[in-house]
Formats: sequence, structure tokens, C-alpha cells
Amino acid sequence: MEKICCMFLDDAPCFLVDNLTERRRLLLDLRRVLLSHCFCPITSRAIDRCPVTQYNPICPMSESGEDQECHQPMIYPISGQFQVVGGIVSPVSDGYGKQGLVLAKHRIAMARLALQSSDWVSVDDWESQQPDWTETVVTMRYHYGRILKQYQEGTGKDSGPTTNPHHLTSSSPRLKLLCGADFLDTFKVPGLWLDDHVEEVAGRFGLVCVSRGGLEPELAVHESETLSRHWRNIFLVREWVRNETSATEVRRALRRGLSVKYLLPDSVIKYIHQHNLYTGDSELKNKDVLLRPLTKQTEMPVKTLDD
Amino acid sequence: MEPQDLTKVVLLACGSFNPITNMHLRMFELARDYLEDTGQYIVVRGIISAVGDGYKKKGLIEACHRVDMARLATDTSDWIKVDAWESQQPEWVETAKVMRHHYKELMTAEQNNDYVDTAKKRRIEATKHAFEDPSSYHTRRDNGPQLKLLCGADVLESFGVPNLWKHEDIAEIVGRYGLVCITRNGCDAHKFIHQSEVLWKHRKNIHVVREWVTNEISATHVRRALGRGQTVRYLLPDPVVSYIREHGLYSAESEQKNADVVLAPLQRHTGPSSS
Repeated sequence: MEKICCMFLDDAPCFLVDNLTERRRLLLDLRRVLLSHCFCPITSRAIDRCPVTQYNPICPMSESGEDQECHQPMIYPISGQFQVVGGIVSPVSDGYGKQGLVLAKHRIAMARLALQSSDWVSVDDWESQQPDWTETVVTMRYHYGRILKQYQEGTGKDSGPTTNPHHLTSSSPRLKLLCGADFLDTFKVPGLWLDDHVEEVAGRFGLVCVSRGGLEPELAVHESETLSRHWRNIFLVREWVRNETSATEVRRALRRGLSVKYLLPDSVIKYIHQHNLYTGDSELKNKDVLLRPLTKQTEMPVKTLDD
Repeated sequence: MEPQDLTKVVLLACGSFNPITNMHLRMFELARDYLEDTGQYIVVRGIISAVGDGYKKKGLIEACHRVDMARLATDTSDWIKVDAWESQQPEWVETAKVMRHHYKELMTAEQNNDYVDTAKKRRIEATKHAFEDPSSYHTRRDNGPQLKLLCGADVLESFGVPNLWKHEDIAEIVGRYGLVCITRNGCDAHKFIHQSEVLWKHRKNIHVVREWVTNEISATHVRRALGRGQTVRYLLPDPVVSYIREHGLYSAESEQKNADVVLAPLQRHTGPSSS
């Protein structure tokens, strides 16, 4: 059984897709994503029913013969089973330069409040602590190294150098990037992603993409050479309950003094009011600043032909 | 406007609440923001009134559970309350009757709160008499609270379903009280009002509130998810999720309840409405 740790990166470069990045700022996407049946809490089933839950969230033709819930015709019918062992929320650092981005310390605090009652999803502030914006793959590599090390220490197994990405046993945990459907479209935005990085995210790690409404994630995968090549590693989950609580709307409501109760946890709302976050002024932050991924990746030295 | 010039409003939401979801709760917040934003109203209370078991809707679980869950859900709200009166009635009660009941209670409370202002008392008496006279549908300009039915667009459009509503009940609800309708699609709601004579007549009493954040957390979906062992975390308040789990509510079996029974409003023949 494959163990998956699902990682959710806040503000992976996608400046054109405002909804996505802004939504993540208030962790509402996390809420929306958690609505996905892909993340039917392994905890509740594990605790209530059996110690180890074989959960296959997306297979319409399970070989086990069980009546599996099919949420969405998948690109790839799998018969494997997954156990989701953890979730990580990683807010982006202030260096990202997105307009309206409030200080990382606040976004981390709010995320922690929101996830206080979750027994499987946690917040990690490593990325937010980095002085500069960090590429998605770099963050994933960091977390994967950490998870693998924990796993190996926990099981007492020595499967070789922990940083060796190819040395994986069938039961060592995998790390997958959790995202919304509009995120897939960002791969084709010029200058936003390095080809090698897309390859690594989709090939080495894998994506779990929760979609809703009118977006067509299958199309995005189809239109990308790299994503298509790694179709086995891309899990698409349809969220049937349309819940478009976007961070943009929440910030707008807050600016206008309107209620956001029942859109965010009470503890987060209280924090926002206590610290007077999300005002007309806060929305103007970084207004004329170029998004960091666009400047950073052009700064990188060009490889010579000898390389 | 001075606070005392504002019209007090109490929002009443009737429904199955089977179970209550974050969407139901959001309706109250949206309605309050909208009404207070007009500068004419102050929303003083929200009431959740769960339908009785006599409604005979398919999949409707016991009223006591639905009321308890609603109470858990509104625990953190300082203005939304749950009222169990309707849920305790042995037979299904028409919405108009539920509104009359709550309106009476409001007026009694208002009267009891006020000992010295006899002029106000006289106004309240006059209003009470007007209330008891079914033919006097007019918008009152007194200081007593107005009771408005809070609902989604689906309820508005259900006015068009044959035999579901009595014509005089619709007229009473929109004429005497008023409607606050939360909808994603403002155009459809306005069109529906436009196409109905009785709704059009009382259009000033019908507030259509646009919901910009699409929030389709339907109780039906929630029940479906629960029946399939799937998570409903973050769709309902946490205490409600726990309650459902503790009591083992919402299974494939519970969804079959009343499967062959005709819905109470459709069963009931048209007859003289009893006040």
C-alpha cells in the first residue's frame, strides 16, 4: 500500500491565476480541498473501523471488487490503494511579492488556528521563513527529505542515503502536491515554471488536483507534454459540492465590513479582527512589484553548451 | 439614520435542516449584512425553525436530532437561535402559520418589554389587531419588529409547484411579512417575481440577496456523502459532524424513510385555512 503525504503549497507561481494564489492565502483552498472525497479522513475511518484503511479515492474499476465511489472518470484507472498519512500546508514567504499578501507570520498563525482541530494536516513554516521566494520543487525536496528521514528513523530501516530520490521502497511514503485545477494551467505560462521543475513535480512527486465548477483539468493535462507523460502520477478529484469560498471574496468582504462567519473558522476571524488584517491598505501592498518567480528565474545563469 | 429610526427585523428560516449546514448559517449572515446595508433595517434576531416529522419528506430523520444539531451549530452565534415549536407539532404546519406563531410571540415580547410608553403600546395593539385581520396586508411603519422569511431561491421557485403552497399563504407571507431570498442567480429570482402576480404585487417586500461566493453545500449532498462514508468536514460545523458520528445518523436506511409517503403539503386538500 502506498502511503501518501499530501503537500499543499501556498502560492506556487501562478500570478495569472489570481484566484488560486489569493485563495491560498487564507487557507480556504485547504478547506475546499479537504472537502474533496480524496481526503476522506483516513483518521475517521481508521479510528472508527479498522486500524489501517485501504482507501482508494478515485478508482472507478477497483480490482478489489468493492463498490468504490467514483468521483470522476480518472485519466488513469488505478487499482492501487493509498493511505493518506499526512497533510502539510506550506504558506509562501513574503518574498513572493504578490499584491495584497499579508505578513507570513500572520498567515502562518491563521493557518495554525484553522488546523488546530485537524489530526492529520499541519502547517509548516519552513518555506515562509526563507529569505527569498522558494521554487515549488525546492520546497517539495525539503519536505520529502524530512518525511523520508522520519519514516526511516521510525521504521528503523536503512534504505540508503536519505537524499537519494531513487532509492524508494514500495512502502516508503510519497509526497504529492495538492492543488486546484486552475493550478495546472499555470504550467504553460511563459517564464513561470522551469521545464525541469515541471518534470520533477509531475514525474518524481506527483499531483493531486481537486477541481470544481467549469474548470477542465483533464484538458490542461492533455495540453501539456510533460503532464501527459506523467499521467499515472496525476490524480484528479472532482469536488461535487461547489464551494467557491475564495480568499479574494473573503478579503473583499472584510474590507467592506461584511460578515465572513461560516466561511472561515471563528478563531481565524477573531485573529483577523484582533490584528486588523485585510484592509483597503493591505490590499495595495506589492501593488507595483513584479512577482518574484518571474524575476528570480530570469536571474538564473544560463547553462552553457558544455554542460 | 438614528438607531431608533431603523426598522427592527427578525429573520425566520424554515426548513428541514436535515442536517443543518454552513450554507444555512451563511444565509443568515448574508441577509443581515444586506438588510443593514440598506440603512433602513437592523436585524435583531435570527430564528431557525426545523420542520416537524409530519412533513414526511424522504430521508427526514427525527426532529429532536435535527433541532439538537441546529443548536450545536448556532452555539457560537449571538443572534441566531433555534426554535423547536414547529418541530414539536404532531402534524405538519404551513409556513404561514409558523410565521403567525412567531409574529405573535414577537409582539407579545415587545409589549411586555415596554411599560411606560403607552403611545407605543397603543401602536402595538393596533398592529396586533391588524395582524389578526387577514385582509389587512400592509407594510407597517411602527417600531415593532418585522418578521421576514429567510430562504433560498429554491423556496421562492417552489411557490410555482402545484398544490405545494396555498395561494393565500403565499399572499400572506409576502404581503404581511416579507421575504429575504438568498440566491446565486439574481436574474432568475427577479424573473420569477416578475412572472407571478402576487409576488410582483408585493415586490417591495421581497429582498433578493446575491450570494457572490457560490456555496452549494446542500443537505442532500451531505447526506449522500455520509451515506457513503465520506467526509463532510468543513461543510458543517465541527460539533455537528461529531454529533452525527456519535449518533450514527444518516445512512442508506435513514435515506429510505418516507420513501413511499406523499409529502404532507401535497396530501393536504385545500380547505379553509385555520388561523
